[in-house]
Amino acid sequence: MSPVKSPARPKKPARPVKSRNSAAGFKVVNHNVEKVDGICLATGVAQFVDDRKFPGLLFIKFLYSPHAHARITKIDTTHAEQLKGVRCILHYGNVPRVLHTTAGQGYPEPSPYDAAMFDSKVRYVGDRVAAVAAETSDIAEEACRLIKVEYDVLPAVFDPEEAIKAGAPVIHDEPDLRGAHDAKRNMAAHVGIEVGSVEKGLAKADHRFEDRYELGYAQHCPIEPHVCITYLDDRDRLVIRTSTQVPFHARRICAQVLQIPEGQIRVIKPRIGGGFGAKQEVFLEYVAGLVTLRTRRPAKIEQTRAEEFYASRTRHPHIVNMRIGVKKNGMIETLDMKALSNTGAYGTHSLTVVCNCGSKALPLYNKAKNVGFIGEAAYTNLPVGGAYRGYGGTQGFYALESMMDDIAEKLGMDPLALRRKNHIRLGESSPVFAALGEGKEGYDQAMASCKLSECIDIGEKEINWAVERKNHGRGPVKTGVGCAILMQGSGIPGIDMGGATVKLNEDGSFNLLVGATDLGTGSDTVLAQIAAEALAVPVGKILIYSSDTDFTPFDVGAYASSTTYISGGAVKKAAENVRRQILSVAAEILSEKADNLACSDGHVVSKKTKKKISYRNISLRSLYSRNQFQIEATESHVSYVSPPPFAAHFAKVAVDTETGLVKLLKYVMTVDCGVAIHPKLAEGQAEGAAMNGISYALTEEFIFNARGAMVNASFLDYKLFSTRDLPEMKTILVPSYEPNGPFGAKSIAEININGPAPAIGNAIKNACGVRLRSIPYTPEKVLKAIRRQSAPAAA
Amino acid sequence: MKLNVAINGEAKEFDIHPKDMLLDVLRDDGYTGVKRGCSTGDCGACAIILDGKAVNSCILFAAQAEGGKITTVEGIGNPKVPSPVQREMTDAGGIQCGFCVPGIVVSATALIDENPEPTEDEIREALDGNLCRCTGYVKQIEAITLAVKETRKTRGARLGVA
Amino acid sequence: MVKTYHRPAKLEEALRLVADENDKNVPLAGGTTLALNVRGVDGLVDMSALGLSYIRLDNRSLRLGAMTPIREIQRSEPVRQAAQGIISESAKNYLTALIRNRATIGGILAAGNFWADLATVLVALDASVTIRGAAERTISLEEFIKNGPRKSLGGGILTEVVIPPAAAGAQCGYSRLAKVETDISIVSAAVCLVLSGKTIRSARVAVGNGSRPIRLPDLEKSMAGQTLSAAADLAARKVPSISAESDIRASAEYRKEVAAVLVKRLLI
Repeated sequence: MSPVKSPARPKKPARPVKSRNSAAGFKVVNHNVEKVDGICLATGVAQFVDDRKFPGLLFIKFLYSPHAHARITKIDTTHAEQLKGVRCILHYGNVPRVLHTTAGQGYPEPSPYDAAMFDSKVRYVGDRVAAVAAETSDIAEEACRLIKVEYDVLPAVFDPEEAIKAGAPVIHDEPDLRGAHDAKRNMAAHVGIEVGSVEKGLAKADHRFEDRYELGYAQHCPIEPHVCITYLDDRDRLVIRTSTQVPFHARRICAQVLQIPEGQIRVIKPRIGGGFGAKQEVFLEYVAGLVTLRTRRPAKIEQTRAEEFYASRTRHPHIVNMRIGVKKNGMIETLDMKALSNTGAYGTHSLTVVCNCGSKALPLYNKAKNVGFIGEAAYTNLPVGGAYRGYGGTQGFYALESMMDDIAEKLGMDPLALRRKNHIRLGESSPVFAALGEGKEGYDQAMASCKLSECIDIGEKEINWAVERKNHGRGPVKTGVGCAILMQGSGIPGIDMGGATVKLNEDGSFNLLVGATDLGTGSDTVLAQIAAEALAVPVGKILIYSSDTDFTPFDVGAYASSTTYISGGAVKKAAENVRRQILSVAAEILSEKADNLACSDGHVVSKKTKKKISYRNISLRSLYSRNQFQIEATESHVSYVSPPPFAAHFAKVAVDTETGLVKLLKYVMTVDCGVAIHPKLAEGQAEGAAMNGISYALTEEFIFNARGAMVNASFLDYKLFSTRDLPEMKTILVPSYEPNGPFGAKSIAEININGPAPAIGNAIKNACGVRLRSIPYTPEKVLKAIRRQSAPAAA
Repeated sequence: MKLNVAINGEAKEFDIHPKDMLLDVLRDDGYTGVKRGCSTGDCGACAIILDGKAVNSCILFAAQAEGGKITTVEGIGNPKVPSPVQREMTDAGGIQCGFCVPGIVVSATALIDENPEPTEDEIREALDGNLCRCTGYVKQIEAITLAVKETRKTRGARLGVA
Repeated sequence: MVKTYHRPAKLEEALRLVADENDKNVPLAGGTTLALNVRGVDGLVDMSALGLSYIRLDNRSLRLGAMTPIREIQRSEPVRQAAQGIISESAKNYLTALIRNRATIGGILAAGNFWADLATVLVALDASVTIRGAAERTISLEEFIKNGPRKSLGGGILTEVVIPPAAAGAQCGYSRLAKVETDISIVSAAVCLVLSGKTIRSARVAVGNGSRPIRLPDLEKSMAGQTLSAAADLAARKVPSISAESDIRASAEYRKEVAAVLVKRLLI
């Protein structure tokens, strides 16, 4: 099946006037201003969801399925109800059945409607059976234990390849299911494209490569677990205070599931303790909301760390089969990728993640004439996949960039030379852009900024490539270096929309109201900088308030590397609109043409007479004395291109060939994110993403028992890198100017999580000659691979 | 049972249950800068200084703190007068979502209090129980290194030897 | 569920509380393990007021009070000086600083956290533990581990860990394999050798198999009189016969194989 058609792009895409090509001359943008919420966070004053008290608060706990696949034949809550302090019990028998997707995506969501608040069937160990609201969390937990459930246990399937075979247990057999590709075959999603002819291309190629790459489960591990508090306001509207990346989608999905109008719900996002995609899911808010609607009391759900692992959302594990056809001279002619995603028990983000496995990675080598991609997502009786930083790109680049090194070796080429020969460049496009978007067709685009070659050059020097490639040390511990190059996108073209409102106050300060969601990314700061630059004021004059569905304009939320680019575009437009209004009031006062006036440091200045008038006086006049009106503007922004940031990653490792232990010694990232609005925050995005990717490449994994239950659901047993594991890290921003972005900016949030798995894998290969095609590279796995390689070929 | 402690220099008495964890007692009393990230002592978001040592308050029975001196992130500085660690964490880019930051500030402060000139290895060791998923630690370690210098300067100034 | 909390000022009082069969009272040290699971515990007997937090050098033996936090042990100068620093080094690898500041040497042993590298090192150094019950007993840590804390303590309280002085010129080494620094080790190894010229006079070898330390007396005996490189070969052959289990961190086979590598490397 070919992807669904995307709506036509408007004839003339709005593009800003291309008047500059560098960051020179910016007063606020491209400067490391103080993070607007920094000191409040550093002093513990900033308020997160759970940092406010709500009198009469009820605590909600869940009863989870102990079975990977079962029908609930009977549920008896009598004893639980009799427990003192229990106020409300929810289960499939007493809540409305509204099939929906928990994926916080734009409407209509490209994910299947396959989830109910509670269902009579459970589909993985950790699926929800019931919720209890009680006066204390201890009582709620105790009541969960008192609920008697009888199950008809069904055969389960854990392997995605088995799941899509004929005869496998059907996980979603509900008749009201909508939007899954082929539920009878456990196929949540399917997409395929072909440009040119893959088979012909491979047949003609001088060299053909084919391999299989695997990436497993991982959890986002924001240090703040999912938490939400719901209550009724004075006028009986439901208020949802929640740690979400998608306040507007949360409002819409809660309205859908609770069957009340959006207008009866207000979603507030206070400070958020990280998300990385985990909080792009709406699966707790409506449960708390229903408890509040039924009891008229405030109610809270705070997930435990264990629940974060087994009962929230994860990275979709992928099996990626990659085929590449290449000419003797190293030109890549054919790229073919077949990705099988394991979406777990529900299909949230199943289509779009697997789509991006191809659509993010394959345009990188755009000289290929033949490009094929098939993405499939299988339901299994395991935890649920979801959005996770990288979003398919992580999976796609792992296969592509690992294979590139194998190609280079076969051809006797330097891996960097092979990449230089084939990578996309300024002004170029890829047929993949138009053929494959996010869940549907995409939009063609030519690279309006691209410093990928420079990224490779700079990183090559920084890692001392030529020397380290050949120097492996003596003894059983071998060193080596490897590289991976990457691109991502900036927002989902033709879909993502952000809105911003700017209004002028008496003192010359501006309220900036945005739907965009700062979940720790620094977007409140970055958006304030964009407004400040456009309005010619210091950033302290911008009072940003974000993500409150009652007070801020719509924004899709924080995902798809969109906020700086999309929401920032809206902020820039709104600020420029307000600036025009300021100039026109000033023109009245000064009796000059607006064209002859300029904004500078909170004043309007006449270019001719040098007369100055302050924003304060302009505001006082427009609010109180002449031709009164509120100087303000709301603007929205959608983009039909998604300018990719580019990066080159270099890893230096030491592999202990007797134990298999891989130590990461040095990690270098060179990144083209256009103009970095806030260089330090941009570097921080790169470092955080890379560290997450490094930890995923080396240690993070879900371990399941035979019943499909995760057995390492804690930070003791699922290890993240700590300060003591940190390698020498070097982040170099390579500036470019993206004409489509606000003040030249592109995204940086996700791209750098995609590099570590292939770069470290390639470094291991360079160090000890062993190629690993699955992560994590745990010592035992690496040692096994070394043993296999050194075993006599006679076997 | 009663619990008597000094929190950020203020004497406090609480009615507690023997099973209560100190984290819950503190958060309940409004010290919400102390965060809950895991409840198993593995993430460090709940760190406080108890009698000079940085510890996890989520796996500390409140009763164990009897008679103790507790410092939470709120007692280290405030937005008007942040401590050098808090200042540098902000300026050097050590903060993204900031949920781990109170714990990091606590660990770093306890370290500098007892060892005014820690090496980078000592900083890494003191912080190894404070997980951060946003920053990759790079800028947090830089921030603490800068705060060490800053602290030395202000101490020197106080002694008139700067 | 925990209902009572005691903080006795005298050891006798603590013993009486712990020994009382009617109350399920449990000694509470740092609490970093106990706080994670208090099911079946009625009363907590906080040991912090018993004066058991100390590090003493006594006739060249190191005496560690049961309530001494791991991080204090890690950073104590006399401990750093002892056994070429391997006690300090292995203490540093006990989880995280925030835990090491609370967890105590007596607490982690009484809780049965024998996966700790520190336990491996202490077994190699022939440490013993002092238990106060009706009377005071001292047993080797090796025996304490073999019989398990419940049986070894017999309702008594662990009060002290004693590390005897190493023989003059003894060479000690410790090494571990862990996925990340703050993880529980997949395996650990500690070796203590007395050399006479180029040959080994006597040796103590302990391997942490992921669950507990295992001493290798046969290997130790066979190493006597051997050169270091011959001993390394012996270790490579004999260490893989240790018992080990498969768990989330590694398989039993892998543990056996790499334990041999660690021991071998400590010898060459």
